[in-house]
Amino acid sequence: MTTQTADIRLGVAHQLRTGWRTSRPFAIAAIATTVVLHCLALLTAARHDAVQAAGITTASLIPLAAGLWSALALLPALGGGDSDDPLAVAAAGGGRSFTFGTRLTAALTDAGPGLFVPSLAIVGAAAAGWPGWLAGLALAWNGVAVGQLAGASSAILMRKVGPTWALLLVAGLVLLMATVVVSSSLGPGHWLSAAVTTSAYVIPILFTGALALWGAWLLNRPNDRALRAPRSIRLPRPPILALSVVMGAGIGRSVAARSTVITAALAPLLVRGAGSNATTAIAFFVMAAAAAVLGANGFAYDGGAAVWLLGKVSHRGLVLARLAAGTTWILALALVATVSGFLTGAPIVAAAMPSLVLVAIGAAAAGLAPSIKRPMATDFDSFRAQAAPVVSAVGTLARAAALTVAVLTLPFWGALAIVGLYTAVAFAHGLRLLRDPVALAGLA
Amino acid sequence: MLDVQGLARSYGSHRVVDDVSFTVATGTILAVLGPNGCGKSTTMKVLAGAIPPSAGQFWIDGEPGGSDHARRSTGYVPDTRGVFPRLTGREHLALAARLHRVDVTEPELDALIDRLGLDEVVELPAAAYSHGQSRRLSMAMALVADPPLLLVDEPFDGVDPEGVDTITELLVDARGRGRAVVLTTHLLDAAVVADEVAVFRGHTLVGPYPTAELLLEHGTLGNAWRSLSATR
Repeated sequence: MTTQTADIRLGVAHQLRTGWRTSRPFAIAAIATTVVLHCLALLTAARHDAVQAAGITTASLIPLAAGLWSALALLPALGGGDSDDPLAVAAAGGGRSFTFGTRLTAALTDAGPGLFVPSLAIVGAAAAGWPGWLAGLALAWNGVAVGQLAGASSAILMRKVGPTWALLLVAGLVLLMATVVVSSSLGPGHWLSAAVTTSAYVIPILFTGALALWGAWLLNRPNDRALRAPRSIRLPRPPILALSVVMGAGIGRSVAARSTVITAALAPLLVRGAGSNATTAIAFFVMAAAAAVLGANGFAYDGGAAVWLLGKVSHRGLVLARLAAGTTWILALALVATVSGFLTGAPIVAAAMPSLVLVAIGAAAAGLAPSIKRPMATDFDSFRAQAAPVVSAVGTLARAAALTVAVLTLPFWGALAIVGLYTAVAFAHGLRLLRDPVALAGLA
Repeated sequence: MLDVQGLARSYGSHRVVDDVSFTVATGTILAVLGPNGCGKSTTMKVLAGAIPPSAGQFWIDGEPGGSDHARRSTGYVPDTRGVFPRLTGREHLALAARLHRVDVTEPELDALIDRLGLDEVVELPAAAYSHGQSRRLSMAMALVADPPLLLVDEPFDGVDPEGVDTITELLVDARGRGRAVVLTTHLLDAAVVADEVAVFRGHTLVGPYPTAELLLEHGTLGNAWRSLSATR
């Protein structure tokens, strides 16, 4: 036990050190900015006509944020970021306890879903003061723990049934659990609502979190490589279309992207369980999250072939194909979220549809430059992915959030002009980056 | 087939390729030799249209370099792993054919796959490939459309001896079909298949010289490289 404790401590220290080294003071400031942006985005969304028409108020954002957090907390398990390189951890001889320590801490140090921890605490505090702050933290702890449990179990499933079925099975289990807790009035949103009024509810939240961590500890194993032949794709004849299809396949075949689809399908169900029912509002959040994942990884989906591509098609065609693939993927995620919510009875706000398309284009454009300049490799054969550079992730998210805020607050034609202008600038910037090999180091 | 005049490329203020001029005729293999960092791969990237030159011009098949026609006339094997991790080998070849706007039949693809020893892995995503298999796949992508110019950057890097022989045979075959080949390599034993050899001195290319003449004068390509690359 002493050795295991030391290993866990070592894993935690390793991860914190890695997190610190990848973040640095500038990045920490950027993270703080992103937390503020999260809160701003939530509050802005609440003021949007379409969202208000669906009955969502600022007060009901607490369960909305809680439900969203519960969905996002699964991202580390289903393919979100890990600050460490799994191969490097394996090479360092890290055993189960070491890996457990790093994974647990990674969920907090990554510039991804972990950022919702302070967001939840802030939203909770704003709504109910000290009890709300405590409830937010407790729920965050619970989310991380449950995410770790899902991650550990999914790692085993990966070896047994492959990534797609593993993702579906994990998603099914999560959905089942969510349905059970919602129907018993103990769903994530109810937990937070109850916890801010009845402090005793904090105890079961903390307890179930601890239970989940114990389960994760029991199940945690390093992932094996699990590569199998995918279903082949048919390429259309026009080169740029063929390239767009290839880029789309590169995205769609990554475990990180597949897990985002699952999250998109789960989010409306979990949020509805929390008491909110505007499917289109949920789609906005899904797209913002997808933009962060895509923007941070972007050209990594092309691997070393990006250099080859530069010599095969015009730079304009290359950026256009990337933008098309990104927008299509983000819109597909929004569609999944909308359909998932609609099937369970949530209303679709038709007036918000043009805004959704605008946000999808803006979000894809927001990730264009960092995806060219700082792409990060995603882990193809497990649910883990290398964390994107904090600056890229935060920058992409900040731009996507700013565009979303613009679309939500401006009249449609004003929003169209802003998104169009930004996309043109991002396109030109992407082309300029492609002319500078120094900026393309990540492509090689 | 390839005419390069005064080509230069800078990264910021650092000039890595300076005033490079040479021509490559159809049915010719040119080997470009030089130490690490001399500008070989940058030259190849510029010729492939991946990055623009800072100065100078080049023409491929009579068309300005970087034009659509020039891109489609060029098969390029980059010095990196050069493959899409999530595409299968067969999908790589289909994409290469599409971008070159040529139709390739399945039997033709199978023959190329078999020749490069990729038949066992061709249906797997390239993330599962070893470094050597990735290089072979890159080579197949350059050859699938049978373009008139091949730019082959370090094709033997990480490839086993059998693979070196196969790639060399493919380059010789391409020459036999009237294709022009520019090859960079540190594997001087393989470079002897070239008809001509050019060597980087600093960041400028010296030559090309007929390989036979260099061998006659210096005995080996290694000696020729050391002699020609030395700053006078």
